[in-house]
Amino acid sequence: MNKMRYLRIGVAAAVLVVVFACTFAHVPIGTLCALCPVGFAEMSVASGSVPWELLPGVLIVLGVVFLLGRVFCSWVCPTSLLRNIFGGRTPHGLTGRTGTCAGCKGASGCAGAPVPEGGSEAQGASGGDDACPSGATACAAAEGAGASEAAAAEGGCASDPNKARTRSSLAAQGIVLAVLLVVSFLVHFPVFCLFCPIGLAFGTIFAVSRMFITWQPGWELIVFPAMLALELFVLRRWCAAICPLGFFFGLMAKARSRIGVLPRVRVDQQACIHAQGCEVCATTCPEDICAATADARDLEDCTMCLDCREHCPSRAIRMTR
Amino acid sequence: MGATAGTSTKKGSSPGPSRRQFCIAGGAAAVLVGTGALGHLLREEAQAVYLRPPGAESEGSLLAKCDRCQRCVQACPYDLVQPRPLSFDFPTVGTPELIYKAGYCDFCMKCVEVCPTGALTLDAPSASDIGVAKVISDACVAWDWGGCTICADVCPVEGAITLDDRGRPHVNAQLCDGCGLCELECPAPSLRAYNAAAAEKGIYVLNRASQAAALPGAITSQQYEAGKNVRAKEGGRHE
Repeated sequence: MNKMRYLRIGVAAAVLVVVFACTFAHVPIGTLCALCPVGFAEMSVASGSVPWELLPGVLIVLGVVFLLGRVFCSWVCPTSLLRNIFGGRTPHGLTGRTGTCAGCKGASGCAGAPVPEGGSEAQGASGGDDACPSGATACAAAEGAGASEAAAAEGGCASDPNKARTRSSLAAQGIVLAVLLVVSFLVHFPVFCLFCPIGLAFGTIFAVSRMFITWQPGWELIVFPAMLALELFVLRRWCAAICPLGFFFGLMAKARSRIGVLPRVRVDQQACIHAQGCEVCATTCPEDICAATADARDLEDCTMCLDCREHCPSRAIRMTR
Repeated sequence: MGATAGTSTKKGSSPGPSRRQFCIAGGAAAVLVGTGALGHLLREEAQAVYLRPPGAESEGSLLAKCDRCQRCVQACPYDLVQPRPLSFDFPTVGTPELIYKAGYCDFCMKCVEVCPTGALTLDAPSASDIGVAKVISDACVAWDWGGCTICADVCPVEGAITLDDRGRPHVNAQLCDGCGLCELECPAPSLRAYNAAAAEKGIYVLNRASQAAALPGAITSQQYEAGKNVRAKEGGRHE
């Protein structure tokens, strides 16, 4: 059960544990902050000099995201680690059901969440991309036949969960990035680092290791976890609307979806039983992506967590080119 | 907004993100602006200086260049480099400072070598001169009764700590490099009865730019507490 989620928790926790252990072993591997593209840009504008030594690490991270997708988000980021452990937006507890589908949850989900109509455009833009042409037929079939009772109950919205899901917004993340760079430039210190959940997670770890040396617990032992909880569990759209790191990863995701030869979620439409009302991929997906009907733009938000592949009852999902 | 936002697609390839996300991003941007302004004001108000690892050019440059990657903290073999705790001067949280609780600095320069951002460099004057030791007259045992010579005995720099004719230690600010061995070894807390009003140790290393370091001779616990992390008006030899 939830094998992939346990594996992700293991990987992300291992990163934190290794950094913590290295602090006591005096191995200077540093935190993920040394690899951060946002931090790199922030230091550059705050100090007026480019820290070139950071550039190789930053490029490696962006390269990995380009090749494998947003693996950082689901496999390494302490944000998803905490969400996977404590619940949060979609994962309900450690062993519970993996998620709710934005598209299939009641009429409020349909009316409340504004529906971006760009799906078809994105599909058009991606040219010969064949992510969902038959998926679209499946959707139409489901709608036409009224096969799914849920669809009938919820005003036909459930037939395509992707229509109602909140996509991560490059523009919103871009605004945050632009503002944080301008502010950092003006005040000469990196201002976003004070809020970054990744930095707060590592900050908490180092506050603990500091306490072992000074025996004077600081306020950050309370404040950092509280800020983390606020950002992750109250501001639920942190990743999609605020995270400036997501801006860089979003650009990479766009680039790799253009190229189209890199591994991503593919659905074997012969095996897929979405037309019969199955929405397992959408309900397990932390990003609410319905793999069966997802277009290229939806898949840009995919974090390669592999939950859909694990839970797909007809084993129709593959990670291939 | 829900019903109408659906049609607010921008022309071009990118679909219009929901207005809600823009509101969240706008809110986050406002918080960033507010935090930046507040942090700037508090820094101006506090005029803070801290005892930084060797190789820090100045408070301002360290704060702008440090990416809080904690490599210097991990590299220090003696656990001297520690991330700054959360204080009113909150923009400095997580940046490295020196704490002589577990050891003293032998200028091994490992913290400088691992710094990936240039926040710590071998070129800075502080690479060979971390700070200056100050005797706390009401905490130092020798200052009250005489007899204790430990700081002068352990000091690795010839002539940096000398004893006067009454056996009281004096620091030669020109020679002292702030290694912290005197502060580490000072036995005052174990020789004195606990006194909340007095400093724990009889000698402390301070940033040269601090008010407390700029005072001549030995200082009181009060002067130490009030001036250890405040920039002196005229400034020291360097930060």
